[in-house]
Amino acid sequence: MSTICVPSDVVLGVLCQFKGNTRFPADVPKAHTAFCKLANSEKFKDLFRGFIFDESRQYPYSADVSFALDRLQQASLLACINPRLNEFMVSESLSKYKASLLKSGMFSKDEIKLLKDASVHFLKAMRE
Amino acid sequence: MSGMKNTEPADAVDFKSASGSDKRIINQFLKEVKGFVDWILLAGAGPATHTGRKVIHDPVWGTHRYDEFEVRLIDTPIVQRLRHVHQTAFTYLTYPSTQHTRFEHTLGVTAQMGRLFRALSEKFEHNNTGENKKDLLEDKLRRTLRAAAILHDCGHGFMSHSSEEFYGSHKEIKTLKKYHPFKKASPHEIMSYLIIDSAPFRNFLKQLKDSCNADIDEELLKNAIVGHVATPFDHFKIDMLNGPFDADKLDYLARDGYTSGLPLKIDMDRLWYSLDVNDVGEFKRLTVDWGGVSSLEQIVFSKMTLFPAVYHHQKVRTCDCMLKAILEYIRDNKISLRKNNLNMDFGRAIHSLYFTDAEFFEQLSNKNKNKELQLLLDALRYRRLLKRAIVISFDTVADENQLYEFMKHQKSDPGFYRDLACRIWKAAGEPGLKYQVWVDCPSDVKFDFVDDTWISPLSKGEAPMPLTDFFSMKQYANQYKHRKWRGHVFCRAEDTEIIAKACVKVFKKSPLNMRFKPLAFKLCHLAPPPDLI
Repeated sequence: MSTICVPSDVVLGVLCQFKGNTRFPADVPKAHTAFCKLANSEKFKDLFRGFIFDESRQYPYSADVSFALDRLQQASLLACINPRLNEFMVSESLSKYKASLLKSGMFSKDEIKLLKDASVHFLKAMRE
Repeated sequence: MSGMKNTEPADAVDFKSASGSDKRIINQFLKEVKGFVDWILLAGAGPATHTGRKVIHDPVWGTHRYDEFEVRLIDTPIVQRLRHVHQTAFTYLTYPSTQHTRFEHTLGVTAQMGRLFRALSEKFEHNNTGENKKDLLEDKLRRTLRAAAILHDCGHGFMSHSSEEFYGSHKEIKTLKKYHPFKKASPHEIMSYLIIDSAPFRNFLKQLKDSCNADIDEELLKNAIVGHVATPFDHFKIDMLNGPFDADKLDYLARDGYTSGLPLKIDMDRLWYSLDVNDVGEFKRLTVDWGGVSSLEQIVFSKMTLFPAVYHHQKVRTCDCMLKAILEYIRDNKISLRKNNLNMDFGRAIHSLYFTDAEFFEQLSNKNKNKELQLLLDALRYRRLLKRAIVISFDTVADENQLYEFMKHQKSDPGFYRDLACRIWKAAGEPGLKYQVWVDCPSDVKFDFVDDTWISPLSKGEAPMPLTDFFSMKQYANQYKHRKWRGHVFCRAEDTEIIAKACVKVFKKSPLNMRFKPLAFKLCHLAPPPDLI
């Protein structure tokens, strides 16, 4: 059984760039919008090539982003346990993934650099 | 990415404009859909004899009237076929009364669509805000959306979502999902769309429209089924069949709850009373007044309750795996099932449409010379279900990273779990058949609609508010579902102990590196292996 990179690994690759306990608004439509913007940009389009966004609706919805956010929460890697349930918090376990990204063989060195850059754009968009 | 499996994304183009290998795959599939529609429209039943309206009584919604155009649409073999497709697949082996079919659900959705439309009409009739919203609700729209309700599930294969789990990962469906208008659609919705879009059905519909003097918007009808918003103005129309509190959801929550004996309650009167249409940014959306928020919360709670109790009940999941075992066996062993002069090996998505539930089992029963197939079939038919050897969940796995690694393949690589199951079967010394060991990773319960639910403004000039501003319903529902979600390894009752031990060995290996807590076995009434953690 080989290690396979699935679209949710890209979301994980972006979020694990943050330090543990980093918080950002649990605004899911905003997260879809931010990832869609990245997917449409020349710089990141290869990184997000497995993602499908439906841009015809109120916000650009991607079942891949939805799946990733849900599964990361389900595994307690991304928490939403703050009193008002309105902020996501990156867990220590999720941020530890950063060190193993290259070793996992799922991403190349260049892709890891792109993930880092994408994380900056993502956090900025979420906090705007 | 080094191992990324997905193919290049398509731009925002229609599926009819696909090129290259996608075009070939899609064209082949369109041909197959046409073949199916040709076959079923001429299924030998002849034209329906009834003309005129019909009144139909329903235990969930009471009495409802269907006009002549609708009755003739309901009478087509394409919709009549749904009388023989269970709405909730094998749940009747756990909740004996869930014998209802896609047909009853179809009629129920149509009834709910009628009430939704009437509620909006009444609201706009008595609107005192000075806005004229009556023009939004033409009779053509009412007729179109009711026709969409009648046809919305015509693409369901036998055993509804159970067969969909199998054919949903076929290449023709995966290819279509890359293109408009299917980007947000589920496999059966794509099938419904393509059936309605096929030349023989379009011809039939044209004749029906002419003879009943009925005007409908066919593009909107198809888009409503797959949830595609062609223009911002159309969004509220799509919302009625494919939105946060659509007619489909209202029917299945009530009907599945009623038949399974779960006392769910949604205050429909309050919901109808509070419906409205408002501008949300550039989009026209179906909204609910502040007073209707409690009804929306009831919808979310009902869905939260139904999933762990019914749809994801471990016995129901076992049955789904056992059906997949039969389909996989047929495919692997090239068992020939003939229908319409075609060999049905279920390697093509369209094959699931040629059968109803009973026909599928009846056809297989005739293959009784194959002892292994008969074994798999009888186990399902006489409810000799596979048992749990291990439970995989938030509270049974030692480390959360491992749980993510296990779950991440569910959407894009379901073959991963089959590979894992075969390894477990081998590690256990190959007891029984490989088709009797399954690793089950159920799909996620979606509460995305909560993020897209809008509350009408309190006064004119204000903007609608998202439901999530009132209460973090989505995150609340997520917390609940994450703690209720369970994956399993299923096997024959006599093999649970050896399979459980094999699971410990196989899951411990790379890439999962997964270790279990004693609870993983205790929940299956098994003693935890001594070398567990």
